[in-house]
Amino acid sequence: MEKYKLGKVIGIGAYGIVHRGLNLETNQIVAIKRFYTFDCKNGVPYTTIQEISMLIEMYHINIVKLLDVISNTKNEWYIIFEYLDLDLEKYMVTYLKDSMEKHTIKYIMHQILSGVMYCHKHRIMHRDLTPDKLLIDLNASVVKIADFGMARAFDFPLRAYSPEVVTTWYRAPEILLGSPVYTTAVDVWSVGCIFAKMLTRQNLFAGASKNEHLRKIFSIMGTPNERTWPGVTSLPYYPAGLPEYYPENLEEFFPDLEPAGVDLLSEMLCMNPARRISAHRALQHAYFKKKKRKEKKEKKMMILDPIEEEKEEEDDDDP
Amino acid sequence: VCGKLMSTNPDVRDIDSDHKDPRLCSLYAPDIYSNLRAVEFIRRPCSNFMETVQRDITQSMRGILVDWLVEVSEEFKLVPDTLYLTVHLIDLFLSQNYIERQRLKLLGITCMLIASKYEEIRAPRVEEFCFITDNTCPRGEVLTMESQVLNYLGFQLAAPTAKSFLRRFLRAAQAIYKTPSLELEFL
Repeated sequence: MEKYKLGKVIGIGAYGIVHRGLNLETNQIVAIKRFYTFDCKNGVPYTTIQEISMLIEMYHINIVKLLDVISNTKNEWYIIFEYLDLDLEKYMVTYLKDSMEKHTIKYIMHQILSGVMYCHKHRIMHRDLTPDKLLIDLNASVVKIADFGMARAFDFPLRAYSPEVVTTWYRAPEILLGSPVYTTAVDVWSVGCIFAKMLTRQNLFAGASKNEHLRKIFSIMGTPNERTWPGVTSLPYYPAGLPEYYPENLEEFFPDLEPAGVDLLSEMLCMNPARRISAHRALQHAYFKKKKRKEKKEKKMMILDPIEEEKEEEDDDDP
Repeated sequence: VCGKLMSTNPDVRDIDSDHKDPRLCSLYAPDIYSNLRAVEFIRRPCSNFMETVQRDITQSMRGILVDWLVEVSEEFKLVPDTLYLTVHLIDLFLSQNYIERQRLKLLGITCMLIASKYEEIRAPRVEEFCFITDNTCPRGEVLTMESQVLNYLGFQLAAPTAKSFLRRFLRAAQAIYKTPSLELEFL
């Protein structure tokens, strides 16, 4: 640990403390997660094992970089991450003030989806995508997916994994309904919810309880049935006696969003996970296609600049 | 790569053409498997560590250890992935770290602890692992060994095992996936 200097505490998690820190050799500011294994009776927490083993494999501009893992003889562990001071939750409050920021939202969505696609291609489901897990580097105009504490690597065909994943408001219906097997589609649903939140600064679905939340989703996206989602009625938590809601027109919720955006959002929020769009396909969606001159004239965005339009296509490919 | 090559040859059935079952992840499968192949290549245990690195333990001791771990995994009802990963971690560690025979069991149970934390929904607790060794491996030693193994491996646990590939090969062979455990018995 001689290489790093511990600074002030910036967060306290379930396992240990997060400090701001400085790499004394490079003067790079870093985030340092510190914990003792003897504090945790069970040794190194499984969340840490999963998070580190996944992050260590990933090299992508839109995924937070794990720089170092250090332990000493006293069973103290230090995990060094690159430091970013802003998350999307705070960014929305401070910078995304009006719906003029169409370009910024598109640019952020493109980056989130690129990061998610990279994860999925490396057989990793994040399983807890929320705005506060997305970090923003204002200087470089980059969004990075962080906090892989809930993530896991999957194998084929997918088997049952832990049912209690994803913060409720961003949780996909198949998880809420208790489907034992779920897929990479759960991440896409979360990104869809984040998209909606960026557009209106409000959660599209926000129920106080799990059931209330499900009812909210059904009331907007329509109550799923055997025709729209084969097998749904036999899922463990399929609620009996709910009214048969018809899908609402999403356009009415997002009057400022261009039609292609509404279409992408509705594909990401498709109830049936088998029909939900993948991150890969979403990146090829018309919403991200090059725009005609008209949009270029639009007001320059605050702080985050859009990607140069020619570059958009290249980003689709795995680096 | 494999998946993409196959789909251009009309005589070979594209095994990633089934987009109906989302559990097969058909869209990402070719990428995922080529990534796995790359990882397999760099993260492979040494084939001759018994001769070159180890002086105290023998092939048959490793065999006995693995047999015992199979029983432990059944006792704890662990998923097969955990067992395969356990053996893989043991071999990786033994590839470069000399170990005395008295500590082989400790290494085995510790690797199983790490593999369960990685794979299981609810991993057994350290105490349970200690208990199953008749407390010949006390908690303190297991935790120290855990740090040692993780440090040595640099947390690079996401290694594909034979099982990861067998699933794909079975699919390529168009085997009927009704009794997957039967094929796995032969591993």
